[in-house]
Amino acid sequence: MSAGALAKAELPYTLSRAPLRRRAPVAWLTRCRSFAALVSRVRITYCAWGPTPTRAPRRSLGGCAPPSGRRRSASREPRINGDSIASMSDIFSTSDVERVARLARLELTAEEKDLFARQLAGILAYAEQIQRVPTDGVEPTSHAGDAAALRDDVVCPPLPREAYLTAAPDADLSAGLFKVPRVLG
Amino acid sequence: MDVPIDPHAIREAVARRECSAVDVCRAALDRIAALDPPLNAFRAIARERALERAAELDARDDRERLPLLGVPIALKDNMCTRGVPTTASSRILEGYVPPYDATVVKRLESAGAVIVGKTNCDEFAMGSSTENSAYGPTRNPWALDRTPGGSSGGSAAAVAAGMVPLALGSDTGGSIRQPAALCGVVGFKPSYGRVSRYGLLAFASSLDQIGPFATSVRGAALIMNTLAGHDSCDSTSSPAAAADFTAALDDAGDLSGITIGVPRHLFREGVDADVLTAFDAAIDVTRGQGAEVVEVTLEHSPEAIPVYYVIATAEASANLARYDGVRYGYRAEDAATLGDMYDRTRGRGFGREVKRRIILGTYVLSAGYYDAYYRKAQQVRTLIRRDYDRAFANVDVIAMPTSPTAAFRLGERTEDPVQMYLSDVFTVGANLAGLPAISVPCGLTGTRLPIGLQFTGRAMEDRTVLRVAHGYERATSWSSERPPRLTSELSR
Repeated sequence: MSAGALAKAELPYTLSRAPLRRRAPVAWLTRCRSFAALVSRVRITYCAWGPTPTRAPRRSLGGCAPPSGRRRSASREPRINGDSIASMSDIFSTSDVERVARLARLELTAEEKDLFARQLAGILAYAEQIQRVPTDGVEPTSHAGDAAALRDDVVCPPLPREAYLTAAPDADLSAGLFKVPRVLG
Repeated sequence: MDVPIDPHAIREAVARRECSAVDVCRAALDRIAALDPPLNAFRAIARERALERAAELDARDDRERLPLLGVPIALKDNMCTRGVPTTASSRILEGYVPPYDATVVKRLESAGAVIVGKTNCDEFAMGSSTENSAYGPTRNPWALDRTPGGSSGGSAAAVAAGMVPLALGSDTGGSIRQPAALCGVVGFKPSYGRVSRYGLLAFASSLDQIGPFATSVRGAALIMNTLAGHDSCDSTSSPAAAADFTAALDDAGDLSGITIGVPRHLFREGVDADVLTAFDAAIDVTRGQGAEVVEVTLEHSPEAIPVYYVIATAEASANLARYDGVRYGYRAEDAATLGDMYDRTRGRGFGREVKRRIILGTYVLSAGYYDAYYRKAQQVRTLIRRDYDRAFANVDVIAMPTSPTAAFRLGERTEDPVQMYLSDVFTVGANLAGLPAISVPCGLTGTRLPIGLQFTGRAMEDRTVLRVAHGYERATSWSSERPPRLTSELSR
């Protein structure tokens, strides 16, 4: 979609949150840009760890003793016999929490980072029991119902722009825009 | 003046003009004013909107044909109501007033129902005790030092205390059925796709379902007639026509021809003795009503909780990305740049459990972990569905306790997330497989706390589940037990 199309006032009504995006052209575009840059940076970092399990496993802080063993390669299925079940929970430190919090755009306090590192290590240790279930050749289920049906491509009138703008913390009604702090620091 | 509390009786009385919809509405508002302060079941009371709506109904000529005429209803605070604050009990949506109505709101109002308020819940429906609300916990009407369960604890408490005859909740992993069990009311999670979610603040879209709380299965079936059906605004809603749910109920309480499966292998540990005793007694009752009871195996049910928490948090991390301080609710005001504003708004606007789940969900979806956690969980989800399919080849419904324990004390499980997550052990399966499931009261513990019995049915066979639960209810009196303290207050 071109920026011109995004800026148009009257666009077909759709079922996603797309109308809200269209109504915040500047904010949404800038967010996409900064978020994409962030994701691409972090992805490279993660991929670099994946196949080279060189970091020493740390002790779990969560009270649930994780199986011994090193972090498995992301590209391999975990094996299901005894001690070769790899553990991912033993790597959850405050710096891991910080890294994921940046991906999720969450500011956390120092106390929260400590708490979450401990609790998420425990939750992940618990979640590792699913690694023991053989699933070779099993199709993943993404949805409980039948595949979502497509509706007819019919234009429905959206709510007036003001309806969305007045629900926002800061907006310029006459310009028809959401207001946000400046984009570059 | 004396107004009925049962939804059918309200409808009949208002239709015959024995009392007005305004009288019924005022009585409900009075009960809320009297009973809610110790319970904190309500987040917002829509007094003006409700009274206006009731007056409109009283002036209508075609009122006899409205199936929920004059019935006061409370909605969980994660369903959008035009002009009424909707926060999902989160600080991040403080001050948000939706410009539109959820489809369930439109359907209820066009059926003659009167929406009286919004009920407290765990923030964004994430929790099993209503303690994760940013606006304080709801208390259990049966024992004020205990939780009503969650996440739809406010709706469950409001119905249990007799403030409203019907309420809506949402159920992602048991959030209707578990609080219904802990508060001694009926809670029904319809099949995935049976009720539109348009206007429900999304938590985990492949699992979320809206459903009712009532004091009887018949009440739940009555409101389902209004809620069910296709909605072009929710492409996951089923295009299959919804049949009459009340017509499926048989007052004779005859369960002959019904086969009930019991997965007894799941009850070996972690289930309270009182709960198991009540469950066994309930199964004996159904046998006495002519049901055949057989053992079934749900092999992968022990993995259902970890599968659920991987899938639900992954979906939540995506769904909650929209709360960024730009379009709704709260914004951190001290940020110099847009990026800082996002981080601070989300860091301060979301509560602990929500942040914990966003972090977990972001982690299991991140590169390098996606296959090991998220994809793996989706594959085990397939195996869980197949277990149910195999069981339903031989049985019509599966019976389990709804919750392994009765209501627990406030604060008892807040320190340990895994312990809290285990409250959902018997309920998450129905969400993962998209099945209809109901909780009906089946007993009281030695200290008079309610116990719930859950029936789960085949996908889109909601009527069978309601029929069996209604049959069981007719043979016992557990659904008519009320919290003792409130019974005396109400009769004053």
